[in-house]
Amino acid sequence: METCFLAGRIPLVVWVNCMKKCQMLLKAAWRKQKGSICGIFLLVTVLSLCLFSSLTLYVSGRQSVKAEMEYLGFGDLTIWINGDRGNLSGEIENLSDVERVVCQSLIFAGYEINGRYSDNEGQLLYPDSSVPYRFITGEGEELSVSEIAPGTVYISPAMKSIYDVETGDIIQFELSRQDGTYGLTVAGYFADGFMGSSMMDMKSFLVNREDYAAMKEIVLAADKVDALGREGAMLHIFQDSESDLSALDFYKQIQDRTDVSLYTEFSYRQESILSYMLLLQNILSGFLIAFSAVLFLVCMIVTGHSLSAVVEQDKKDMVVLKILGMSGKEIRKVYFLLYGGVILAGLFLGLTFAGRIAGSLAKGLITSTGMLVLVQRPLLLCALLLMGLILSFAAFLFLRTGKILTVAPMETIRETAGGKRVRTAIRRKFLEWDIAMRELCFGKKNYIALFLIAAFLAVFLAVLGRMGTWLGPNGEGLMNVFSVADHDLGVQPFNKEVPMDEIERVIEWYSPIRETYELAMESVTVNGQEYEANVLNDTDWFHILKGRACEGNSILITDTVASELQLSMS
Amino acid sequence: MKGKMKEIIFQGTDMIKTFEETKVLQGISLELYKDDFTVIMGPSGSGKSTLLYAVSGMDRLSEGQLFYRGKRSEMTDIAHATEKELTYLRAAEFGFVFQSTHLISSLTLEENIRMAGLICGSMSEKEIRRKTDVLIHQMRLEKAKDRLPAQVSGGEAQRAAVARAVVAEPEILFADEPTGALNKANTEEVLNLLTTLYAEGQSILLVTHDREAALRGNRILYLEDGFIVGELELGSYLGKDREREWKLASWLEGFRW
Ligand SMILES: Nc1ncnc2c1ncn2[C@@H]1O[C@H](COP(=O)(O)OP(=O)(O)O)[C@@H](O)[C@H]1O
Ligand SMILES: [Mg+2]
Repeated sequence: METCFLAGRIPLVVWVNCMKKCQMLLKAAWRKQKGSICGIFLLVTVLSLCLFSSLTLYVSGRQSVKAEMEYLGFGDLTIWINGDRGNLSGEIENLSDVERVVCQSLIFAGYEINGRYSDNEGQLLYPDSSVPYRFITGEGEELSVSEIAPGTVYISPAMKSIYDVETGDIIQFELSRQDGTYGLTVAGYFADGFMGSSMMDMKSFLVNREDYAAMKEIVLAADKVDALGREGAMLHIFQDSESDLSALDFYKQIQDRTDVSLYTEFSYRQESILSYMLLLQNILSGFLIAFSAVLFLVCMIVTGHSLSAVVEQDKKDMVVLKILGMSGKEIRKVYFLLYGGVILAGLFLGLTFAGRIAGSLAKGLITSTGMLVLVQRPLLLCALLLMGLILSFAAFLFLRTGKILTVAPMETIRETAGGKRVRTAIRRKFLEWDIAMRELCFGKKNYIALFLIAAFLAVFLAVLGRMGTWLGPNGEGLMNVFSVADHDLGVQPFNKEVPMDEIERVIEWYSPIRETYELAMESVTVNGQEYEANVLNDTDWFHILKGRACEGNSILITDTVASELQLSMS
Repeated sequence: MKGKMKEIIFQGTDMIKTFEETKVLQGISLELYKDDFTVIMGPSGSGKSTLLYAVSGMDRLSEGQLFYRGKRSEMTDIAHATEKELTYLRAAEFGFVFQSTHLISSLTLEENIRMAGLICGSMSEKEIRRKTDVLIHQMRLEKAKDRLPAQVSGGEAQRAAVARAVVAEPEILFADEPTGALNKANTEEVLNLLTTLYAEGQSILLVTHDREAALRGNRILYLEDGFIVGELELGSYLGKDREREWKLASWLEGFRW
């Protein structure tokens, strides 16, 4: 008989045979396990899409807004002041901790669009070389506009969702009671890294320089009583790079050493503007990231389940392979390769399309964020995460396929020789039902795995479908999730004689009032600085993150306020 | 055949196998020779299968010694071999056929045969294909070769199992009741195949309680209650032979068969 084992010519033959062997077994496994393999592939793809697109959205949103603010030349601190205080910026600039101040003149004015009046004043600006605004289309593409034509205005895309504005609509700015309004036609949109988000009530409008001058004249000419619009300015203050003051101390110093507090309307630090601008995107990406985490767990569970199901189901074949002289390690390698390959493919497929998904998400969100988000994949972060995912999946697969090593030929050979006992009886009357039940009993785990995959895909699709509704046109939907009422109605009495219960009754006529609380707009002084505050009674109503509802001489504040003013409990 | 020096491939001494208290093999010593068609007969439950699995290294002996010398010049102590050594032996030197076919359910018959060739590790892809084609022809599996095991008859499946067992040209073919689940015609066919393989130089160890099957061997061992209680030299099978049948029958009568 020919000798089979020849030490010399092994390597290539062994290698080729190994490949062939793997290929054949992979093909065999595919024939048998198409269902669960496809399910896992889909699940992992969705996981990867979801995770990487949300990460991309989160990181590029932040970068874009920051870049936009830097590009526009907005400083570490921006103070809105009323009136034209030309000398003030010079005064601030002289402080040692201040590097420079950029002053942008503006007009505060209420406005009306398509019959709807604004709740807040808008700010009218004219672009000059000091602040290079970027123009965009309503779909989120960049647009080059050399000059704003007279009689036109550019707005934030977020206005589209708030007021249903289209290009060509006319916005009426209310400047004075006497001369009435000043109408401008919407010509397009611009990226407002500052107040663009629909989460910000005050909106910026870019107008032509001549229009601006004409409007300014109307405002200045009007009597104090007649004037509806006001002059004002934004002071973008840059902290000196050598200054080591905290943001709060920096602001305090400016207030102490200059007259700025006399004219301040309001002020924001760069960080707080960023957080307002990114609120929606962060909610969305946070939601997606949380969802990805859940999906990751689901992937693990489903993969684990179908792997044990497959090992159980293929036990006989594995035993045969062992009898034919394949080692447990080699068999494990095949399963490892199959599932690892599928998971890897899913991860990379998801990663490939994550950029596009993030891009279209960002574009879809433009009417809420008002921002042009330049999608940049955070390569390092993605690579690290990908590595982490691959490693954890690999470890998981490795653990889960360990069982293959312990499959013992003898047991299975004896088992099949004797025949396995069947526990469910088949009755003639319910033949089909009984056969189905028996099938279910034998392939139990397999069916559970399939069911899990199906259920989670269904949930995911449902979530995707609902997402649009949840978020609503400008994040309102999301806000509604957290508030029970359909509408919030604020009623402000002019004097003490107004009968509040009468008003409540009028409202009740139309719709039930769920709850009322009193609200006062008060000026408050916190650590020596003045703020306008919404003061509410009945604090049991809110979700309290820390501490307890108000009793006696204590107040509740929101998270944002606390971080803004650096307050802590008690 | 007697008198001619035969090469020993298995040498077992005082082999004992116990399953939870019951001593199934009670101290068996035996030699198996190259180019023999050895048959182990005995009543059901006498330990035939246990002996076959112990000899082939599928199951460990509880006590005793068992040496094997095959294609390689060195001896292997099967009773104490590592899992790796046993894996090599199964891949390259042993072939197995069982009562149930144990074909891989998701591979076609042809793929099942080729798979064994690939696992043996010493044949080139081309050789494997050639050998597979020869065997498919020899086992008359041309029609069934592209079907899955579930789609062919019991006879075809068992023939494919035999083909798979010998594709890697093993040193010895172990067969445990290979005809136990087959009808008369198929039994005849599989036995003819084994006989042909033997005539071509294949060493075979067959466990059976079928007299027809036992007739094909040239050396019959009788196992009872874990002991080998008899041995019969029959000479090679050369077709139906009254005298041979009578010889076996009278020998078996001694064991109240
Ligand atoms: N795994 C095992 N555990 C316990 N007893 C076993 C096991 N395998 C075989 N036996 C017992 O060993 C004896 C011999 O079995 P076996 O070798 O299969 O007999 P034969 O093949 O001769 O019919 C039987 O009594 C059987 O019950
Ligand atoms: Mg048996």
